[in-house]
Amino acid sequence: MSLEEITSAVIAGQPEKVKELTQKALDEKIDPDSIINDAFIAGMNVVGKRFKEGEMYVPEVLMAAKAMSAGMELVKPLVTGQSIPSKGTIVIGTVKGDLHDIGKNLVAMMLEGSGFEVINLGVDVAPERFVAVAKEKNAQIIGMSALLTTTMLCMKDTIEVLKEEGLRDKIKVIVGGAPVSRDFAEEIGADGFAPDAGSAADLCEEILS
Amino acid sequence: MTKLLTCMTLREEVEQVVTKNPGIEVDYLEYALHQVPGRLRSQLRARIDATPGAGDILLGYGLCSYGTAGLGSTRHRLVIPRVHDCISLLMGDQQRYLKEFSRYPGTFYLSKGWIDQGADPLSTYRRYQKDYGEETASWLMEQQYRNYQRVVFILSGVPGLDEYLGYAREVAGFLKVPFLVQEGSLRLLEKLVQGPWDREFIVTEPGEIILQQAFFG
Amino acid sequence: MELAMGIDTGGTYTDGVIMDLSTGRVVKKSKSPTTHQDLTIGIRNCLAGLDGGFWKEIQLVCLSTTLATNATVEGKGSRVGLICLGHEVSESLPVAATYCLPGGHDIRGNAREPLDVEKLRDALKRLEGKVDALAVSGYCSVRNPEHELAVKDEAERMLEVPVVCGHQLTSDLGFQERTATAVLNARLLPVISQLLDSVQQVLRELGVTAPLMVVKGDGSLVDESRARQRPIDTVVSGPAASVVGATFLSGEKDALVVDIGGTTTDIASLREGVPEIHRDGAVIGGWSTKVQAARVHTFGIGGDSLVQVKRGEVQIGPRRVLPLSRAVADHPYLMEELKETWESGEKGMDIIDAQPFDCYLLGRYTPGERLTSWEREVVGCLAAGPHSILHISRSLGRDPNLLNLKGMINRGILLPASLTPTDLLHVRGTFTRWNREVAFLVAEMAALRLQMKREEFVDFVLEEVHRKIASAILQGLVRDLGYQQVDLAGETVLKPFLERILGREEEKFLCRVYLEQPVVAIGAPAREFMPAVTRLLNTRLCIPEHAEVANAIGAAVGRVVIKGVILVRPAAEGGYVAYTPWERKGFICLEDAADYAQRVGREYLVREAAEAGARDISISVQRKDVYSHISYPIEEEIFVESRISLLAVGRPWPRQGEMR
Repeated sequence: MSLEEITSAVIAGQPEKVKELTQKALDEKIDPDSIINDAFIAGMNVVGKRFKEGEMYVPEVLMAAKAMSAGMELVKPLVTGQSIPSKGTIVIGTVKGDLHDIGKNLVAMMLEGSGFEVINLGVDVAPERFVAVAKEKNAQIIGMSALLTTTMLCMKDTIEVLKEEGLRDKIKVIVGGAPVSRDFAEEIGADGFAPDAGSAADLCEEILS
Repeated sequence: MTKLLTCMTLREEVEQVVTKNPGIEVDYLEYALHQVPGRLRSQLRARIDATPGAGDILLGYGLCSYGTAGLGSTRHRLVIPRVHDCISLLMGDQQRYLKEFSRYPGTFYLSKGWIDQGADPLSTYRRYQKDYGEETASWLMEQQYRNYQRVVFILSGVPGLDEYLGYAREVAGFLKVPFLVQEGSLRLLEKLVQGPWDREFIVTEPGEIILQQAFFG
Repeated sequence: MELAMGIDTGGTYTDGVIMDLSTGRVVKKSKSPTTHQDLTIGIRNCLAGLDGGFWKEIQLVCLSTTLATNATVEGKGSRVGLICLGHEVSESLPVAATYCLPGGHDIRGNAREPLDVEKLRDALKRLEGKVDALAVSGYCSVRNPEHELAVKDEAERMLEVPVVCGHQLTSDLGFQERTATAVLNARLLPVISQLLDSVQQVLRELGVTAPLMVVKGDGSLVDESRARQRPIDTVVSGPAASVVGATFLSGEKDALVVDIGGTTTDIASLREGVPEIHRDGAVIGGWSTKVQAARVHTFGIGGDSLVQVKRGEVQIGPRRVLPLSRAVADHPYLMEELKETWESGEKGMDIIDAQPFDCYLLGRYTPGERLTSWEREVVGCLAAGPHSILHISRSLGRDPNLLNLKGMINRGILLPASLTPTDLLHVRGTFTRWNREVAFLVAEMAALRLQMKREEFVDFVLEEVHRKIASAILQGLVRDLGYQQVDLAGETVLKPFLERILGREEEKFLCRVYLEQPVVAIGAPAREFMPAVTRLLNTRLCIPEHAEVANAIGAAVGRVVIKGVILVRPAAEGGYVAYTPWERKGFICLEDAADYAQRVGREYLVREAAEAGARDISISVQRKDVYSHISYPIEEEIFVESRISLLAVGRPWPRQGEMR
């Protein structure tokens, strides 16, 4: 079988089919890492980009994520046993006053899949909380999401708290969300901006290299 | 000739305002373009570029998820209310919206236009049921709407809202959250059409573009 | 004639000049030792040397000083109590006591918790009589100073000492650096007040009525009343003034200023006639601060650096010693002692931490300082005058390896005299102010240890000195580029290249660097060392006249400087954004945006310069377009930004109200 079938099933948002195909792939001794990267993440990358372009809508994205999770459940036990070193620790959350979590959870899922340790703080996260947790967990990156133009300025607050605490050089900041642009990211002094969930993982790798 | 570009969502409200201000040509763009900000921008840009002459172009929009940032014209002056989105326009005041927002970030706002286009959670649920079946539809709803704390219907000042009120209450019941009705106002839309274009508006001269930062100032 | 007087109170010398600003001519110059016990004496002596009947005509007096820097480095200054609100310091600071109390704000300026007035009063009571000044620093106080101000009020009432708040010295975020800035500022209050009092007293005696201004660490000027409140701003004032003076004397606008002294080589970059500034605040005495100061890189290599020959290798610096040629000039009998060493078989012996020709003088000894009985013996031995190490060893009957002088040297009780580049210049004959005979003798002894001929040894060591200075300059430039952590000499991958750049190696390939800027060199040994150094770095050298009083000249010609930058960048959705210090504006065309930026930039400079009381303002607005090369998805140059650099430089002219 080919991994492309799994990829298509992820994109089509078919949890049962993904499960079935993944099991088959595992039975055929296909490397679990390859299933994660070349099938699941590859599929979600496409989903992220299509969503950004308006070619896919929220329920379809959610279904795709659900499909990927279903497959992950089978593969994860096989990879967690091996002591693959984590690529880095990322604290992620939706900023204060913002309760949207679909996109942010998607990013968390993609980052985890790519081998990062992700600490997901959920929604409505205060700037001080991002910094306190990043400090406590020795995270290299704080990732913030905002879906509203009313809340996106809270991202800047977090960066400023890092400055006040003298941590700005030690902890990188990435931002994303529908209203967030590259201009905005630069303007508030973030280290990186990802236009979609798939690029977030690449961005983190680039930042930490 | 002054032109007004606005969203179908605001159709009734805008119609009411322009009947009192003849001489304005109104062009309605389709519903919910803000969901893909790039598409909202490119559609607005196309209309602006296609507008002949050198008259003012009024935008019946807010920042709308960043969809209006970057717009400009070499011939026309652009005027846009300094608001986040149509909820502020319907309330008639950005400050009021911000105050509400800081107290209840998890509010689902409804207006006639929002219900007409089927953008409310109940209509969404019914579509999901049809497309995905009962179980998945419920799961999707949970994912999308679990953080909402209340539903607010805005009385924007257009007639015939009674049946919409009942439906909005039904939506709140479906989400199992409190339902409130709030008075809106056509003040900002009227001011957009009549002026004065003071601090509540962003005005770009020919050659300039609208910046996202301007909405935060 | 338009006369300005410049005074530089350094750690060693107090320099003075009178300049005619209308012609740029040095009318008078003078130098005398700084008298630390009573600064007025040194200042009076120095100004006496300037007397030409001009006192009444002087229109402006400007002062630069390294006393604030030295005091910080040496840990001097007043006893400071520190009150932190809502956050603790992460690095210890030079304070008598610290109290961390509830209070402080969040990033948007909302109080995180109320100020606990009871606890505050408790803390203040405990500080009573124990501190001369208080520093207050609140978390995010730059976003809301109310808690710092409340503490200040209460403390001024209860303690009756000066109180310094973090938010008053900087508007930058960064609790630790802001707190350090407040503490150091509080410590320096008496240091700068004393100096300004001394200067003002001497000026009064002479009948000089012109206003007094002080050079800040960024090379610009402030009036003395402000300097009294914010002495921290005058840290690095000496080096900044020397950079400004060097520019003035050389006429170079863009240059690298290299100041070679006895102990150190200081390197600073000059852009458009003003020193480049630390972007994130200067590090002073090891503490990171928020002080705006000239970016001066200091390296431990100078004319009086110790030259050591150890196990077949030569090490130069970073320790500073007295050149033997100078020690012998002052104390001729040392020559006899060293001749003895030469004639005895001990000239080649290895001594721990010393060389057989080293001599020692008594240095600073504060009465009351505790000495061990052995230390007292050593001090007794040198009481009548300095001696060579072998002489000390013989008179005290101890093996030279067991003299254990290191502690006394570190405490400044003993001053070593040894072989230095200055001595080697005496051998070569290019600089012969002091005793040459001893230089010949000692160079011979050292050469022997390397099995070299004397002249060969001198050439070899002096070439190493040139290389060390060249290497320091490269290191400084690399740091300017933002590579703070890179140590060129320590990077093994760079070694083959560095060796060739510095001319130590030529095997297989050559490697050269070409400095973008010319070098302006000042300081006593500049004429001896710098021609060879600039040959290594392939750049032009300028050694101006009057360089020995460059600091005082820099003070006298000090400028009011206003800087800024406006960036024009492409916007994500097309168009361009001009980022000015006060607003952002978007345009469809780059040219419209750049024109706008240049126009408002010019208006801004005119306004600010007038505000600062400058006259004869020269304004420069320069546009530079920055492109970046990308190779993916296709090879092309992409436009990154237009940088509109704003610079206004004017002559200070205190307004009427500020005249004394």
